[in-house]
Amino acid sequence: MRLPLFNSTSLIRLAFPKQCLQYGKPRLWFSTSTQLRQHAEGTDETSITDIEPQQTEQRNLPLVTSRKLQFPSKVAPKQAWLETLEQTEDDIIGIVDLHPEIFGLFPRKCVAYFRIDVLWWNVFWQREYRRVDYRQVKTRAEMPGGGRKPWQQKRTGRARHGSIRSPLWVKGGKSFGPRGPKSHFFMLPDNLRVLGLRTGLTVKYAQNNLHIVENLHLPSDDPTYLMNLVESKDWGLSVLFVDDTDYIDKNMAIATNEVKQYNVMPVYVWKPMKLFRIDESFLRLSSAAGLNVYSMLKHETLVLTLDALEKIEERLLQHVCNVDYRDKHFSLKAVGPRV
Amino acid sequence: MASVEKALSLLKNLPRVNLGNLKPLPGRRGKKPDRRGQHGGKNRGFGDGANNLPRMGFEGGNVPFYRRMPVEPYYKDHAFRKQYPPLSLLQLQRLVDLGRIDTTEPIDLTTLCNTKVITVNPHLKHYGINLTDEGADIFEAKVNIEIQWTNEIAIAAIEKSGGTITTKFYDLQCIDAMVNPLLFFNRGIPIPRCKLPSMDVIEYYSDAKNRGYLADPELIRQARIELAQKMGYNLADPSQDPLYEMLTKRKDPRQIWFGLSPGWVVNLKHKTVLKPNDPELIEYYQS
Amino acid sequence: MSLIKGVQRFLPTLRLGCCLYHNAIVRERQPSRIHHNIFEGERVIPEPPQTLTDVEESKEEFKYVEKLLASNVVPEPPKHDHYPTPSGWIPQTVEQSFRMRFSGSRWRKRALIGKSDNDEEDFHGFTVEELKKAKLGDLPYFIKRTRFHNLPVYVEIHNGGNRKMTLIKYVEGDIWALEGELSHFITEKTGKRTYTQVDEVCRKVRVRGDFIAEVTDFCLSKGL
Repeated sequence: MRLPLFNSTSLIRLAFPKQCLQYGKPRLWFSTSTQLRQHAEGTDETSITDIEPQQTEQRNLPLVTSRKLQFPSKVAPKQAWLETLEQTEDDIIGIVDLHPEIFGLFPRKCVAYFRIDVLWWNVFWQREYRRVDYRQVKTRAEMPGGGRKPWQQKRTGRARHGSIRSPLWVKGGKSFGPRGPKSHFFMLPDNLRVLGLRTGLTVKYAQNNLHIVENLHLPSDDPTYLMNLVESKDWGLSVLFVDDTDYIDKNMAIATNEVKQYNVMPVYVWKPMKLFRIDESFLRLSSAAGLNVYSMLKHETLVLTLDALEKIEERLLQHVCNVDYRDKHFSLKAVGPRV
Repeated sequence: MASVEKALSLLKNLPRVNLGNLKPLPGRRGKKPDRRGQHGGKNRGFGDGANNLPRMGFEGGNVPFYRRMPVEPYYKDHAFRKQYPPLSLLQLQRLVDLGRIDTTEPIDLTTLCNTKVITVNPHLKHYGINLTDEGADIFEAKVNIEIQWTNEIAIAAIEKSGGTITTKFYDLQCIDAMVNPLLFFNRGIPIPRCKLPSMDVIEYYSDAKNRGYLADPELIRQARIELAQKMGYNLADPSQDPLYEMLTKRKDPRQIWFGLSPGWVVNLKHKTVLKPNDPELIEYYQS
Repeated sequence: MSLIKGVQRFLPTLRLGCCLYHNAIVRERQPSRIHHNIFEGERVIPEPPQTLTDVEESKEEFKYVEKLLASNVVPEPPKHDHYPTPSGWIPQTVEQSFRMRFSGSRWRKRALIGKSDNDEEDFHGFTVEELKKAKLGDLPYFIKRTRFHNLPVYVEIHNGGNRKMTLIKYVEGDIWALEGELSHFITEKTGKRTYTQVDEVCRKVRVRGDFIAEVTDFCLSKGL
């Protein structure tokens, strides 16, 4: 079903019927990824016997979910459809509010409207900070041989030379060539990186490439189901699904594993995952990356879950509403211990 | 026309922003100088022309400028002078109005530095905060404030509103800890004990007129009454105040933070505080 | 036959078995190189004497530490009984108006033509009831406050202090309407002509001269 374009200037506030049903929660295995994680870590209170097998109820009426924004602004919030991946038809289940400081940002750092400079800086930084240039070329001192004067200084009629490996000579050493491993590490200031994420999200929203989804549950692990779903929604060639944690629905994991263009990612990764554990109904991602500008722009569509949306807003608003607004030089010590 | 909305609606009609569409602003990178032969580059000589010039300031042999001029005592001992970056009563009142400072707790150097309104840098010989009297006429907040330097009018303004003020001295190591407690705790060293003031300021902190922490409390009480009479306001009876306990909270002369003794080590990761058991250490830190 | 390592001086030894050692003066054999098995933890320099003492761990005092590590987020200002507050701060009372969400110039045109809100017309999908809710008193522009809840009004000083301009940032909506009203307001107050500059791209309005008091008064009078 092709959704009406969600545009900030031509907003359509649907008047949902006031007799909107109380959303009776279907008894799914886990309705949020945090519950998944808790179950995996054994910290949740319900036991397996309490949870019934998956039953999807018929959800005929749309649901208006009201979302409370942290640090609400006087500027009106942006809005997006809340969709579900479990059905191809009747997949809209509500509207969510999006914080204007993150999804309705004025695309700054540009002279004209169209050059969104800060996105370039983020992509450049992501490419460069981990680049190590291992090239090293020998100088005349390091080249083999070249210690002896090839011929006497005078009276040979030839040019005077001191070594066969001088840079003038063929097969000679290079004077100012690349010297040894060179790191291109640098840290883009915190505020520019945060601005990059906010601009990326704004750009995705403005160009109708951002979709909010209840969760990443799929009814089957067949990749063709997902491909058909994406096709029917007209989401484009490549889709980036972003969830709250690195525990995702097994069906989603298997489907996205098959299709290279569809990728799943958590919002934030503390430590790069080296394990790929399959445990009952969920899988743990072995991704080393969280949501970043490069991935956002590389994939045509960005799909966020509600949990992911909450987390993104929470983390980015910490910077936006920060007391310390000065550009800080990156320092590991200032971040504090990871508790 | 809605500016943000206009920009985003323009963006909507343009091709999708992707990795192939991005560009930096023009003039981002300066061109590298062409260093070829005699026509290129800015500096002459091998490398960048180093090691072929005389020392900086050399004037060819005559007595150079920096040796001609006689030394004047304008900046003599400047490194030993103590500096106190200012914070006005107006700023303090604004912080209280916007809820950025909690008036139910005593206000400290750490509290004020955490608001990021003022920067105290021990490396620049900043020995604390100087509370100026700008905004004394509008000041209304009832606070228990502890600063390092102030004047009579500021003291009067605070006491008129029903608050209390103390001037306390901290040595540079303590200032370093107080200005950024997170960085300090990450170092894993014990909380330092505060040194006594140096000779140039000990008189200031022993004077009741400045509400010094080393002054006699009885003299301070008298000074409060005198100042109220001088400035012409009524002093409320502090013991009747419901916030009496908070307003009379004072630190030990060696203590830098409330509730934390010198000698303790803070473990942020496990959220515990490590206290020494050795009697020698305890005696040292409490002396 | 075992070899002797180390020193044996002036000691007549008789061992059982095949070994017979003469009581000869054996020169003290110094090992030519002392081997330290550093890979197995043997130290080259002797370890300093341990001076670590006992420590008591406590979780109760950590609450004082938490007070020191303040949150970095700007808090929501508390509600006061009357404004302005003692320091002269007034909060923003106006929200981004509904009317402002689309072209402000269309509203001005409608007002010029003489149409009122009662005339039914479809405006970009807004329902008529919603349009009726948008009062004519709603502002066509909006000025977003800074993160510290202050007005984004500044004085720009250039040319060594010779050139001063008052700047308003973060303007949304009909920026030309703001410029017109502001200019009118300042002209009335000062009696002099105002020179203004509108930067639509960067959402700024500049007024020539140091009129920060007048501009602030204007913004506060509109509830911004």
